[in-house]
Amino acid sequence: MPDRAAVKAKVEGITKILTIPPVVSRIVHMVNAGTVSAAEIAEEINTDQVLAAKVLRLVNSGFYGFRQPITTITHAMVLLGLDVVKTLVMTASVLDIVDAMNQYMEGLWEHSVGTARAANALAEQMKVQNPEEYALLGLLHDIGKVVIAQTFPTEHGRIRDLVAERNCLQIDAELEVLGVTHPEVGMWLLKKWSLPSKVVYPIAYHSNFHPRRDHADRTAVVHVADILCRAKGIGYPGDARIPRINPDAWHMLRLTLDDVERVCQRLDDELGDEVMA
Amino acid sequence: MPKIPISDAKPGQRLTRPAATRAGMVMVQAGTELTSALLDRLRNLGISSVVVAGERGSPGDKPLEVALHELDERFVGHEEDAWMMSLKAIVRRQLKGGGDHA
Repeated sequence: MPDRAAVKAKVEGITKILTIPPVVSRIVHMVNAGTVSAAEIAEEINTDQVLAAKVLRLVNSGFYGFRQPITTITHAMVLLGLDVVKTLVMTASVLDIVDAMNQYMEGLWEHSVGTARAANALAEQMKVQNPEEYALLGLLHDIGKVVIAQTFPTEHGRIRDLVAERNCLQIDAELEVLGVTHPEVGMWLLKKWSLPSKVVYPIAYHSNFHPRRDHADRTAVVHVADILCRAKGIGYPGDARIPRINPDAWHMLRLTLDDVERVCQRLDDELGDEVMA
Repeated sequence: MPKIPISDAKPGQRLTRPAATRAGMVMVQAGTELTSALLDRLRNLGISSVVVAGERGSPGDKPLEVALHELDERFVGHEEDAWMMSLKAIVRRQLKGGGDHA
């Protein structure tokens, strides 16, 4: 087994290979500075038409469940907010997440969109301020699986074999083969991208919830959304099992089983056939 | 409403769901009648399947008993957990009630 530090160094190393284009650095600085208007940031994104198209592709992928397609960056900024658009810009520019997921793991993209919709719907039931931020967390919660598949192809093959042989959760196979798990790998990547902890923590701990950690409420939503998406059989997250609900996470949501039923029904109603198949 | 691979779709069939790319971008609205030119364009966009009006029980439609069996498989090991069993009951109800989803 490769040792932990070596795995971490290699994951962090890929951020050097996948260089961040100057336009994205500028956008991230503009957002972080907090002194420029949304219109100016939209204008900056639009200077790179390929990037703008990739961001719109993500925005229209069904993860947020818009009925009408969003055709301009400005409109996306208004609906989703600066933090979500910043993260999407980063994701779209560095790692073509849709293609990468489709290429390396059949069904992972569908699982991610399904989890995003579930997280968004749960957040709406909870009446939180920014449900669209929860959708983003669902979309990216398994980004570590893509990194593992890309960076450690041999180990990824053994993880798949182990899952097939034992019908276990992928995360258990990861621990055995690689000594680290995909939420951890995702955390290393997102930290390297300097994304805020409210994005990093829920992804880092969605399989290992603790109520006293920072951003526990967001983490709880991702944990439950992942379980609902698996229960509904949407997409394929790399294994055919469902992790057990963490009771502390469930209580943190302050929802009822009727709410869960409504969220599950919304997945049927709002996800397109390309995801539900 | 069967979902069929695009290779099986024929001119004259009518879409009952929008045709969308894998990323979810809608390219053709529901209700559109397929033509050979349109099918070529959808193929070029990488769209691999469409949902058309037609007889039920085509290969793309997962029979209820298969879906229910897969549900049982997914929840193996959670029999002692009341919350997990409640979730399973919810999904089972929706599988039986919905029916029409491809």
